[in-house]
Amino acid sequence: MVRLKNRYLMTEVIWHDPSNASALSELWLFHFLIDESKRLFGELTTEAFKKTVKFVYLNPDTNLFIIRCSFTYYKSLWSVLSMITSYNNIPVYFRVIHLSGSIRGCQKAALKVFQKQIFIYDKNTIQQQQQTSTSSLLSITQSDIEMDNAPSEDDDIEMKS
Amino acid sequence: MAYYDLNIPAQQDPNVLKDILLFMTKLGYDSVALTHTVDGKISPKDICKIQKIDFNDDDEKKNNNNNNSNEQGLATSSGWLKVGTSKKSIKQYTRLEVVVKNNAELQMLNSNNPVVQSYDLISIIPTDINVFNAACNSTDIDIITLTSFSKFIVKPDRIRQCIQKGISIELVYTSIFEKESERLSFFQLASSVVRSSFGKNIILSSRGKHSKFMRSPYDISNLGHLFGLNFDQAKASVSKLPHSAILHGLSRKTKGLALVSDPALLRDLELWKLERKDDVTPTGNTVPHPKNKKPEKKQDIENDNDADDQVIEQEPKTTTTTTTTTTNDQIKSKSKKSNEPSVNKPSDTTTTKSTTIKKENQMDVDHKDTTIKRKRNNE
Repeated sequence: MVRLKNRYLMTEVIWHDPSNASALSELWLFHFLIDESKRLFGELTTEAFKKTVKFVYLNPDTNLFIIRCSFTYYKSLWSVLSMITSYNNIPVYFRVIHLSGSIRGCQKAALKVFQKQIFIYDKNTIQQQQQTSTSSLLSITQSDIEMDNAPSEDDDIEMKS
Repeated sequence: MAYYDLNIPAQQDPNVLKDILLFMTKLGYDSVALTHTVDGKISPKDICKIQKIDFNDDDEKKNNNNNNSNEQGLATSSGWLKVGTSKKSIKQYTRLEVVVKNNAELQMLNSNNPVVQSYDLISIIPTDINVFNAACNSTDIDIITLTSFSKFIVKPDRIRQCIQKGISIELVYTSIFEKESERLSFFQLASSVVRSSFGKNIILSSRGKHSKFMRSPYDISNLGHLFGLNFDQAKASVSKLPHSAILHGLSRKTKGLALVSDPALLRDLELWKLERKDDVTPTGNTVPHPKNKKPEKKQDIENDNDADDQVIEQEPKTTTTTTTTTTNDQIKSKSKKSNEPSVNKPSDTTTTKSTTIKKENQMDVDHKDTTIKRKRNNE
């Protein structure tokens, strides 16, 4: 029995004009993608992968979604995504961030992206924290030094025995 | 891997240009060539005036704004975060692009011209087949751009010449998103070029006048399959091959001789070695996994034990009882006192002696007594 292969595309939606952005939802996104694919690739390719397309995860707050597609047609779906320039005359770009064969790989990549974004978002607060927490840093370095000393003592004991 | 986009028009509003460059850093590009386009003959006033955009000042200003009014500087221009807020910088090169209509205009582009010397990269857009044929043999050009202007059949021989000379052929992918005639001509041109060059020396770049037509390097690598490039070839056309074009430009500018004044510059140019290292050993881990190493060690230990056993078995035949006792002592001493090298050295010598004794015994029985005597004397 051969397993059916899938590909998971993690895609970020970039609205070039954020004031006009429309919230992501499966309802319009699926029809939009299928229509665009019909326009760009024709009916033959579209119908071949239409049934396999499924939205696994969709987050309107971070403008991110994960879409599942069969292995044979993921290239077509990807090029449809990257060839879209506008939705209802609003400029938009579907940027594929990660491609993986399992949903776990996408999950890891998503966590990475979120951490990066949160880090940038909290840049100022982190800077403020660094200024206040210089004293705590000193205590950390002291504990590190203690930790460095500890294993060397163990070595000495081994040498003696 | 560093990603390049070698065609960003420089003749636009600096703020728009800065937005584009910030957007490109978000997409993952590392280097950009700012292009000055000339139609026809180049004149002395076309000398390089491109001002590279400085991001450091802006960052400081943004930080100040943030401190004054909370998080307005980080407000979204695309996505939900201001792009380019990370500290990542982008390298900027200068590039001259000339739309050439006849051979006389092509001959203006020689290395003696100070205008040509002032740019990092020289490229042409041929509108005529004769110009294209002449440009393929030229040594003063780095890049030939093929757009919808060039309505002629590109012959495989000429492309092969280009590859030999190290001249890159550029295709502008943003014409996919434009009107239908542009798109059709792009696909015709791209598939004919790919067919005759097998993906060698093809550069894909955006002539992006607006950030909405920019695509990330990985998206471009995938789009390559629409005109016959596989994923790796298309990826090389936004990473490796543009880099080789820049190096070609540098060697043309210096005429093969280079004098390094700034070591930092050299470091940037030598980065490709690291990239090659990444290609060869992607993880950077040259030490084999301990799982693979263990059985060899075990075998060694077993061999050693076997050898000792053999010695013990053979020694009663040779009647050298002294050596066997020493080896036993040695093993005991190893188990007891691991950190005393003075004990180990003589024991090794005794084992070697024992082997020599064995050989001698096999050869001559008469010498047996004498050798044992010698040994006892030594002890």
